Amino acid sequence: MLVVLASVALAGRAAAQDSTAAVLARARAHYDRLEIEQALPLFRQVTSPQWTAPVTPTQRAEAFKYIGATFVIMGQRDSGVVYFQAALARDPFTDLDARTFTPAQTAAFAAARQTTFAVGARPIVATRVSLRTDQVHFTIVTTHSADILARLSRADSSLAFVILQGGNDGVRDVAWDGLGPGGRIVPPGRYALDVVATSRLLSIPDSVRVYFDLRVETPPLEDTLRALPPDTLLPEHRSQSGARGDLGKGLAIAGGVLLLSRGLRNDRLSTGSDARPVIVASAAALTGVVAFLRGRAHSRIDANIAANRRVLTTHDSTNAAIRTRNADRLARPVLVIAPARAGAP
Amino acid sequence: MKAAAVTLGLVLAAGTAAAQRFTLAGSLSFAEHRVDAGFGLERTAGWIGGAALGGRLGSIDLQAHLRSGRLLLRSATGTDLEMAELGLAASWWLRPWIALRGAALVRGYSADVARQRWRMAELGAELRVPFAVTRARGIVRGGWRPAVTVSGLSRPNTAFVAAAGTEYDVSRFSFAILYELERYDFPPQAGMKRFEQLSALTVQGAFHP
Repeated sequence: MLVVLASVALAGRAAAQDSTAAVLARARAHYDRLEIEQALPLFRQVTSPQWTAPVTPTQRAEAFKYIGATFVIMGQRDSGVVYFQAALARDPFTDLDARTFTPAQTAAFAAARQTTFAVGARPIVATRVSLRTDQVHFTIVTTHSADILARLSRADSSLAFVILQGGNDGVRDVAWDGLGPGGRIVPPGRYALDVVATSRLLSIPDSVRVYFDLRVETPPLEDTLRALPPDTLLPEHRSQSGARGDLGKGLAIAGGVLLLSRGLRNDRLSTGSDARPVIVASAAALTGVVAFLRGRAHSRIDANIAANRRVLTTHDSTNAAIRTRNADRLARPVLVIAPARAGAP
Repeated sequence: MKAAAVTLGLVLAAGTAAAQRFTLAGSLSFAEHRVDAGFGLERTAGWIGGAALGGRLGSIDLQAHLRSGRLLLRSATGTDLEMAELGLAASWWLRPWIALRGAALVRGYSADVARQRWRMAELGAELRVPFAVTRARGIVRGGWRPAVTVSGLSRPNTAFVAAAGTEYDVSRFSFAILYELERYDFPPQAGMKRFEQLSALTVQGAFHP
């Protein structure tokens, strides 16, 4: 024991300038080479109140875990269990890998789990979750069998709802579909995940809370096609002015024939009547009349009507598809999850 | 004049041969020829048949035509006439509805006692007025004949031609009905003025292969 204390004093001075991670790495290296006399002081140094370098709960829990494991190797199982309990109390996710620890160590650790109760939640990791295909995942843990209640609540509002309730033992993945009460997508803001658990073995409660920021990101929406400008569509009826124009053309040609036959002829050579220009003029006038009547009777342009229907149908169906896709995007946005930047409210 | 006509004929013939689209046409005219040379009106009339070969070269229409017929005497004085004409024409379509037109024609009138040859050059224009509803169009054509030589006569002071009518498309065929008028006023010769006029109602059918 004196050797251990002396080693701690020496190691404390030697490693004062080292970071916690470096000391832990060195300690693990000694441990892996079964140099427990060198490893133990280093692990204890990290857990010591005199250790001034920053230590995370996870690092502290790891140090306790290895101290406990060391004591089990040294045959001091009860001390080992105590240190395992300390590790679990600081980090309920602490575990022993059965491939690298001895059965005696894992058995002692299991005993520690049964006699210590703690609930934990993994820190929120920044992520983007498309609610169309995925869910938001939280990881929680209880050191042993417990009744748990996981609840999400939005800061600065009364919005709170349960996402899990029931029994649990060990690590558990809790999936959340991004929906709040009423099946609606929750509003953006800062949220807290509260996990409250009661041990089924020890009847003692524990709880943990993690904060995260949630942002709702709607994918960009497609623009619908604009209404078709009037000049896009083909005329569906012939204009009545066209029919009247044809009548005018026919009459003009007829008049031109008569004018030509009478106005340009040599009067000295012209005696008697001539039916030929009248025949040609009549044909021209008749053509104009027929064109006028046909234009009035057949003003519909069926080919253009069909073509316009095709254009309008395509336009409308395209817009309907765009609206459907947009509605789908609005209904299934992307949730952007990030750990709460500032301190919890 | 002869050389020019031959040259124009060769050009038109070569152009027609190279044309992108051909037209074969036949025509039947009821023509009336009137002449007053100071001895009273001589009037002959009759049927004249014709054929034409045309082609389109870009925006230029080329046409060669031949027509012939017998004009029977319809007046107290005069004689029956045989008429034959060969013409070469080119129309440059500035727009689909208007073209400038040039032509060279050789025409002969034959009687029992004499034969008269006409050589004419023509400059003019043609309008085609399409109808909106039917596949028809109105045709108005006018031309000035600045160079007319007639065997045995001096050149006329006034020489022009005008025509108007309608044309109809039916599939690859087209049919036209036209009234045509040619007028020639000759200067006095030995104190006698001579006036001539040829008018015709022409029905024409064309095939566009």
